[in-house]
Amino acid sequence: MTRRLIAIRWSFFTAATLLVLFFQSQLLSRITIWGVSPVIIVCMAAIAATLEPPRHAAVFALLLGAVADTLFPAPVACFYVLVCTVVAGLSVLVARHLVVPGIRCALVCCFGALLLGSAVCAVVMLHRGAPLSAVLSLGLRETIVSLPFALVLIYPAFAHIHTITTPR
Amino acid sequence: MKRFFSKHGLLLLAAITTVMVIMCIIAAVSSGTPFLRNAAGMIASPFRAAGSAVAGWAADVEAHFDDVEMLQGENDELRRYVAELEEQLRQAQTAMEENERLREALGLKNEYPDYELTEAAVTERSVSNWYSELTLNRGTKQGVEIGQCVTDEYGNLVGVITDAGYNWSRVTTLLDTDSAIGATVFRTGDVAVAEGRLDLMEDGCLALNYLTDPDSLIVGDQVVTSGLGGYLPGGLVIGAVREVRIDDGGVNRYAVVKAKVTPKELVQVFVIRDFDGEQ
Repeated sequence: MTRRLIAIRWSFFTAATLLVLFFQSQLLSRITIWGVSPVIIVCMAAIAATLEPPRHAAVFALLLGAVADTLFPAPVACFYVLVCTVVAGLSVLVARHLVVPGIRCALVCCFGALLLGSAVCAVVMLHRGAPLSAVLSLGLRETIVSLPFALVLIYPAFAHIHTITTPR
Repeated sequence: MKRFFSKHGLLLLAAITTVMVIMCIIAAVSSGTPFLRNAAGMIASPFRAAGSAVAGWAADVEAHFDDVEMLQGENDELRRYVAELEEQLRQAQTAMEENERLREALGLKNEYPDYELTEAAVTERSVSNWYSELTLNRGTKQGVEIGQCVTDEYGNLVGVITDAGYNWSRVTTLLDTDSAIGATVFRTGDVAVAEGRLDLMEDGCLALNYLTDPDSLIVGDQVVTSGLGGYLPGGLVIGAVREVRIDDGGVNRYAVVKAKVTPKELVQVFVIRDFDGEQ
């Protein structure tokens, strides 16, 4: 794969990522299903990691996390950098050893990413004295509601970019 | 036969002519319908009816197509007219809403002349379900600073500025779990602390803790900011008491307060940049 093709691919990924962040900020945050809004930021790191080489995926996850931490509030400092990087690492492992890259792999990795994100928030909230039942309920609902949005909004775009920028 | 006609033909023609003349004279003289005309009419009647029916059907079809074309034209015109009216209605609705907000803002400024207010628009809602925050389009450039409080156009407390950039700022709403506001029950004067709780946030409620006499509360009691400490102005409406509960430990009692504002529905807010701390 030439450098030019890599640059084109990641330009497309960047554009798609910015679009998803815009959607998250202006559209998804206004939608409420089952009492929660879909939050799909960490799923971008997961899906990219199932499609791209590990090094590229790790850099993407770090940059995505940094941008998200800059733009959006988080329960702890560097929340998105931490979660996106761990999610990318785990997704690479899943895609290499457990599930063949594709929609099923994206589903598994997004589910894991959302659970991890919710788990970190849950730990912070429990530390602040929130009731366990409320924390578990919110975490599960957020994961279940966000998963379809991630698969519908992110996976087709990222998979298409990967396909059109892969040499035959 | 030929011989018959050549021999009696003239006679026969004369007889027929005589009969026809007589019948014509009778028809002219008589007042009713003659038998022959009546008979001819009876025979022709079904054919006339059929012809009339076909002609009528053709005329109906033609009229139908004429009507459809006319109605389609009329319908298109009406649709355009309705679209124009809807557009005007939308513009009027927007103008009315803005007008109402500005009227309320003017009322707010008149009600609290000591407040220095900065109007701000909500540009982003909370991008998480774990906390409740809003992003505004006003920042340090407009004098907005961390710690200033934010209200809606009716003077209801929205939250406190927790992050301020050059042209943006972030409000942690009173529903957030990080939020703790000095509060007073308006009717009883009981002083307490209004705190956000994760399990109440979804319902737009917060907890009123450290109450000295929770039994004195009644449903609907208004809770306002106490103003103690001078961090926030006093008298801003927080919400109304919904019920009194016992916490998980079974020792402390707290009141569930339904917040007056719904952060997710806010469009415009006011930052109180300065106020008379003595009030």
